Formats: sequence, structure tokens, C-alpha cells
Amino acid sequence: MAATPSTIEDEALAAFRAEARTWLKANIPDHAAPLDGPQSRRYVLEWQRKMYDGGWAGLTWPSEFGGRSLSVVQQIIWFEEYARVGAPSTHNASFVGVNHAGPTIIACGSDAQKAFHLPKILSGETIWCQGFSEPGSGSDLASLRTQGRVEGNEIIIDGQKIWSSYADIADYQELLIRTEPGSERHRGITWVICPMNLPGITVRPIKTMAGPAKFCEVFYDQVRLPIDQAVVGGMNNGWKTAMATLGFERGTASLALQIGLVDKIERLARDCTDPVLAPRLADLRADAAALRAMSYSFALASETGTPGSEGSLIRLYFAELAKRASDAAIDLYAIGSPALAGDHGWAFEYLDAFSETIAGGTAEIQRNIIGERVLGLPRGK
Amino acid sequence: MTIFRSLGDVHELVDSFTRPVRTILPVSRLRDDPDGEQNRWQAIVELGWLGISVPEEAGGIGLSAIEEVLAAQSFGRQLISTNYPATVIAAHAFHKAGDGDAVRALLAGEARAAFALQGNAPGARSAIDAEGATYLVALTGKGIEICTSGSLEINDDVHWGRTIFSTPANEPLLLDASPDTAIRSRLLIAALLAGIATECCERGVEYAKVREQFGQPIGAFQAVKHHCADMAIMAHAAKELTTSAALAFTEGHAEAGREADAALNLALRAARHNAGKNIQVHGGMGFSAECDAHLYLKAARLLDAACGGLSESRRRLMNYS
Repeated sequence: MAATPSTIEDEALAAFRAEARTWLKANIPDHAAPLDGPQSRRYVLEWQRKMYDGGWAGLTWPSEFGGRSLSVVQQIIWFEEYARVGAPSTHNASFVGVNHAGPTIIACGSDAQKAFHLPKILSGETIWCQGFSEPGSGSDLASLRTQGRVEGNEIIIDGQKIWSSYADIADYQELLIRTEPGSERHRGITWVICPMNLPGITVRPIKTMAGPAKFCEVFYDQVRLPIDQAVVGGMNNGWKTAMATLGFERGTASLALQIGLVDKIERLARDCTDPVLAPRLADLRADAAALRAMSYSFALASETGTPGSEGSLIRLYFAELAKRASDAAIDLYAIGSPALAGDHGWAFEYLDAFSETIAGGTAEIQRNIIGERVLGLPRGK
Repeated sequence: MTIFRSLGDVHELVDSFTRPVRTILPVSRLRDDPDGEQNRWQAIVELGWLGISVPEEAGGIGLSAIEEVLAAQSFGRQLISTNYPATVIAAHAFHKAGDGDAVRALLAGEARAAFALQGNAPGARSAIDAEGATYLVALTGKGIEICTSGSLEINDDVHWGRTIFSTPANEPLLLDASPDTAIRSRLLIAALLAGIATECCERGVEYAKVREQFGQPIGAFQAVKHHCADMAIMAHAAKELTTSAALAFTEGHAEAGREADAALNLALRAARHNAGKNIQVHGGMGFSAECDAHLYLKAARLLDAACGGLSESRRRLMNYS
């Protein structure tokens, strides 16, 4: 992909781009990432370690916690180069640790929690998963019911989580539990660090329609956590702790995925020689340019102040564009072509994209959120 | 060199000189005073809106395409006459050709341009609101073609909110085949369309907040709310891409042409989509001519026709490697 249309790079940025490109070319793994299981754990930790050793881990993390504190423009350049060489997707088993649990601990954790966990996440020693959704709490997360009973210095957990990506290969889980008996909605929830090797935890991977089994169900039967080590951001304050990094998650953490999609659509458009498909690809090309314009401007705004509410618009735009792009790819290459086959081919992308408008709040919920919180429309009776 | 320019100060500047637009060009004028457009043209001339990015020595304000595009987004919301983009494009083309007198006459309101559309029959042409126009401007595959206005015969003054004329296809006075003027034209039309998309979204949302059925505002119903969310997404995408494309052009980026084509494609779709949804959200009133909703749809289709339409934009987009 060519340099972003809205950038004119000065010498320092051009040098940064060259440095990133050289390092990536020399260091990207020579085989594609496994999608699940222990082989996926080894691959992801090795890649994280390599980036750490090369000084490319924790791009957004503050330098006092071992990060690079890169500017948004530098992050954009890094992810453009990252997509160009086809480096491993950032939406892998290290995503939660690097982009969610780590930043949450930076924002709300104790000194001991920071000292223990942050270096391990950055250097590729530990994998984290997220324990938020429950069988009865999907898009409506605040209805969660997994219980944490306080007993002395311990919390005893009973309940069940679902859609916890890579829980089967993770070392730790960022876990939301209800610690105040009888509390409802956003109150009485606590954000805890839960080691995945504790007695009483059972993990069952769920195979998805796209093939891999990265999602898991996690069952907790009298799982005991020491309060001082586990609780982040204070007892019964978990909703606030979880929201502390929401802006972060919806700001620049998605840049890598957004830039990756723009890159994929460009490749599709270049491969299209069918005049019947061309109008669709032309629209996708324009949509990709719009995604880029929106996400760059949003990321830049988030650097200088609080990002606006347009993050929710961009997120839905991305999800639906990812689906339409992979749908066009199946028509373009046709079933049976090498472009569709394999772990990372378009067949996988196409099937996997169906999760885009479901995971993290369905497209319908996203539209409600846009309608109510961005446009100020009333809630239904 | 500029890097990722923050546009905060530019927005402020543009707001300062486009502020009167809501008073000068209330959309209701198109229902209440459809013949008053000629008089309003003088205000547009006096405010300098025709020469925003024309250099000062040629009689313009001397700002960049970014200011021109941001201003056009506000003008689009008020359904400014299609003579506006036609005249701005003509001024750029004459400036490029070194015809300072023609530029000055256009900026001073002594001459005005209207859009010519490619007719279906060879030798035939249509023109939008061409009465009193000195020039006809056609955006063709060859470039910007300008000819003097000839005889006009009303083709349709019922359906498009503006008068469509039939006119003979005169020999061009000027053909500007430069990529620069083509990009400026596409950016300008994309910006007007993005403005239409934004206004339709806001009007639809405001109506959904106040119109009650089944005991609550219709915006509380998810089916309506979701239409509104879709309008907000399309408007935001069109606005951001148009602005980013103007930035790329102003900065001399190698991909500016392609970005402008992408912006036009997106803005064309956003304006069509939002104009249609706004009518739908307004329900029965939306179908009546007493409501403004139909005016946005018609204006969007006229700009669409003037720039060669969605198919042409798609064809151009697929020509980039």
C-alpha cells in the first residue's frame, strides 16, 4: 500500500518508516500463524518475544512500563508497514494482554501488579484472555452473574464465562465478577486477575463455523483468589475499571485491523478483471479509503484530547466492510481457487467475518448505541 | 513539511466566512421563492464564496482546496444552486488557461456558469438552471469542457426542483484536460454531496425525536433508529473522506486523484442513501412536496448527473492500479 494520502512525511518519519520496514522484512515469521491450540501459543509468544527484543513491543505503552510511547502518526506508519509485509495478525492470542489487560493494569493496577505482570506481557512470557461475556450476558454485559464471594482475604468464584478467546492456552484472565450480593447492573462488579491454572477452573474450547477452536467456555467451581493480588481498581468498582481502557481499545488498538483491511481490499481490487464485479470492487475501494480517513482522523484526535463519539460509527463501518469485502472475495476468486484455501485464505476470512457484526456487541446493539448516545434518540419503552 | 495537519483552525476560519449561509440560503426558499435564486447570487458573489481557492492576484480569496471543500460542505447543506459549483469550476479552468478577464467576470457576478449534462442523442445536451448563464460547463471524460450558452428550451421544470433545459451542443470554448481541475471539480461536488448527506441525517434524526406514534417518538423504535444510525455513518464517512482527499490534493500527494475519485464515489452513495432514508423517516409528510425532504434527493441527483454519475466514478476508480 502506498503512503497514506493525508501524510507528507518529514525526514524523521520517513526514517522511522524505513527502520520499521527493514526490521519487519528481516524478522517476520517464515510460516503463517496457527489459528488455535498450543502451537498457536508457541507461535504468538515467540513473535511477541522477537518484537520485544527488537524494541517493537508495547508501541502505545508508556516508556516507564517498557513501552515505546509512540505517537499516533508513528503507530500508523508501523501498522501500514506491518500490513504491507503480511506480518501476523494482531488479533491473535497476545491481543488481550497487550491491548486490554496490560493497559488496564497500567491505568488502575497496584505497583506490585504492574511490576509482576507488565514485563511478562511485553516480553512474550504470558498470554491473557478475557472473561467478560456469559451465556446469559452477551451484548448486555452488565447483566453478568458470575459470583465472587469474599471470605477473609480471598474471593471464591462460582459461575461460567463464554466466548473467552484463547482461554485454553492463556496464563491469566481479566475477569469480571459480581462481588456484591444482590447488586444489579453496573454496580457491585469487580475486575480481577485470574490465573488459569487454579483448581476449580475448567476450560472447554468451542469450534467456530470458520474452523478454529479459539473461543472457549470457562467454568469456575469454588476458585479461590487472593484479594490483594487479584483485584484491580478496587472492590465493586469493576465496571469503571473495565471502561478505563475502553477509549483506548476503540481508539488506536483497532488501527492495525483497520489498516489490514484497507490493504486486503486494495489487493482484491487489483486482482479484479471481471467487469461485472468491478463496480462492487470500486465501491469497496472507496469504502476502504473512507475507513482509513475516518480511523486516522479519529486516532489523531484521540491523541490530543478525548476522542469523540464517532468511534462507534467507525467500528460498525469496519465490521460491515470486512463482511462485504470477504463476500466479494469469494465471488472474485471462486471456491476451489488457491486464494480461498488454507488457514488464512479468503474462505476462512469470509466465514470468520460473520463474527465481526456479533462479537463485542452485535451490529444491532451498535446501531442502538449510535442512535441513543451519538444522535440522542430516545430509548424505546 | 506538514504532517497530519490538524484542521481545527481551518474549521474556525471557514465557519467565520460561511456563517451567513443559513440566512442567505434557507432551504425553505426553494418552496417559497423558487424564482429568487438570481437575487441570492449577488450575496454569494459579495461574500467571495466563488473564489475561495482562486489566488488573490486573480481576484479570489487565495485559500486552498481544503477551505473550499469545508465551505462547500456547509453550502451543500443549504442546497446552493448548481450554478455555484459550475461557476467555481469554470473560474478554475479559465484561471488555468490564463484568461484573467473571464475569471474576474465570473467572480464579480457579471458572468455565471451552469452545468451541461451529456445528452443521450448525439449533438443534444441538457443543462441545469441555465437561464441567464454565460457559460455551460460539462465534466466529461476528456476534461472540463466550457462553451457559451446557446438557445434554451425547457425540458423539465416539474421533477428536479430546478429547471432542466435542452440546448444544442456548442463547440467548446475551452477544454481543460488538466488533472488538477478535474480533481478540484470532483472534490467540490463530493463536498456538496457530503453536506447534503449530513443535513439529511440531522433532519431525519430531529424529526424522529419529535414525531410520535404508538405513544412514543418514532426514533425510539429500533427500525427507525437504525435508519438514523446508517445515515450518521454514511454522512461521517463522506465528510471525512472528502476532507482527507482535499488535504491530499493540497499537499500534492501522488494519490490525490484517486482519493478524490474515492471521495466522490462515497459522497454520491451517501447523498442518495441519506436523502432516501430522510424521506422514509418523515413518512407521509416526507412524500409531500410541502416537506423539504424531497429537495435534498433531487439536488443530490442533479449533482450526480453533473459529474457523470456513480457508474463513471466506479469506472475511474477501477482504472487505478
